[in-house]
Amino acid sequence: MDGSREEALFSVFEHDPEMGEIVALFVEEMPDRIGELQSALDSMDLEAVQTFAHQLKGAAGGYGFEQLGEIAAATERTLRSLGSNLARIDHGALVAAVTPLLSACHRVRLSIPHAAA
Amino acid sequence: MSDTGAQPATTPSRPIVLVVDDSPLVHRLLKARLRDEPVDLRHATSGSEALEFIYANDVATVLLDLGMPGMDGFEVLRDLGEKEATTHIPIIVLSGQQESQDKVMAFGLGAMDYITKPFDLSELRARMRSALRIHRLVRMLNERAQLDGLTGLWNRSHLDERMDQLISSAERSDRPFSVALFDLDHFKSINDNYGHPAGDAALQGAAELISGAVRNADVACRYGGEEFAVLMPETTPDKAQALCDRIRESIAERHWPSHPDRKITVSIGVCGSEGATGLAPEHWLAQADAALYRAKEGGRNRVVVTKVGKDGPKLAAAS
Repeated sequence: MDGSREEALFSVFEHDPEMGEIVALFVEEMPDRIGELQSALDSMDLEAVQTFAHQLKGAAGGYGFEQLGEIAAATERTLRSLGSNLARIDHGALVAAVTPLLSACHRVRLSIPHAAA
Repeated sequence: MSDTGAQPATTPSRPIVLVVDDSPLVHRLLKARLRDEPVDLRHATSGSEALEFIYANDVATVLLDLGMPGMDGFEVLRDLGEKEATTHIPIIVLSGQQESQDKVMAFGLGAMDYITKPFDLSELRARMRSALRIHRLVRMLNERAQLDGLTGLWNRSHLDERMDQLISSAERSDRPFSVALFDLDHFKSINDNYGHPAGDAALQGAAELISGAVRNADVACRYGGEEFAVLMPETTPDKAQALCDRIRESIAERHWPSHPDRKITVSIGVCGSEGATGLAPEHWLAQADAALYRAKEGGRNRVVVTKVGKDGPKLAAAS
């Protein structure tokens, strides 16, 4: 896993009193989310992969992870360009399309450990 | 629901705002971002769940995601737009930045506004407030159209609508239900002897006593001329009789400034049941009308009750 601090992605809302708690939750749940994406990739479940990218595109910015949202949007576009014919998409192409998003997900961090964590 | 009580134009409790999005992340985000808004925020994670909720609740505004698996936002818009009861609910579409074609289509299907993800916080709040304002105005217009101008009670068309709802609900759940028809005695002579302003004052005074006596769940309306009707859900014929008798007495005792020496009385016919009857709404009114006729025949200023049940109508005691 890629954990160095200079490459970490932080939320601009981490210290917003309305948001601190759910930003922390967003980060804490990330390993589970990555696990879901990984298993969707393993089973070549294109729809689940697309939904994953689509939902992160819509939500990440709202949690203050703007860059993550942008990467998710780009991933969604790439996935769409792969087409919807599962038979013609190979596993390597799917993994390649999702790699930037997966890497970004791994880099999501809190700048300070959250009290409730 | 706030628009169904005896007193029109009540202030609703917090308006319900429904968020429809397949992503739990969005629900959590909006819940945090809107926590200080005076709204009752609810959540649906699919189009079908949203429709089910909206048809069962008084929803003031919908925040709707377009891209959902299964039934998507467009289908939700289409469904809500086609139905009279839901076509005026303001819908704010939650859309992605690159989806302008989607926005155009959503507006075509009746969406009122859109918010682009990721949400700009102040914009989100401002747009939601504006949607709630529109909802309040539409509700007010609807209520005005269902109010009687002279007395402020509901009018006949509202009564017909509520009557169907309340009776079918009572029948379904095998619960008590009663309806009462009121007719002011010798009303014409008030108009003839003291003038029409005195007649209007009599109608207003009676309406005030009726609406002051009924409970929140009851529906009081001006049925026409000098006739009033009250729908009483969850009310047995005996309880309805007691309530109507109190109203009868309060009208008979009222002092009328334009004719201090002339009292006004009312005759009341009640049709009520302890549970399911299988009767159609028009039969309930016909039975109440027949009871009212007997109250008049019996000397006026009285309540006559007909109890109905599975085995047909039975005349109960008069008071």
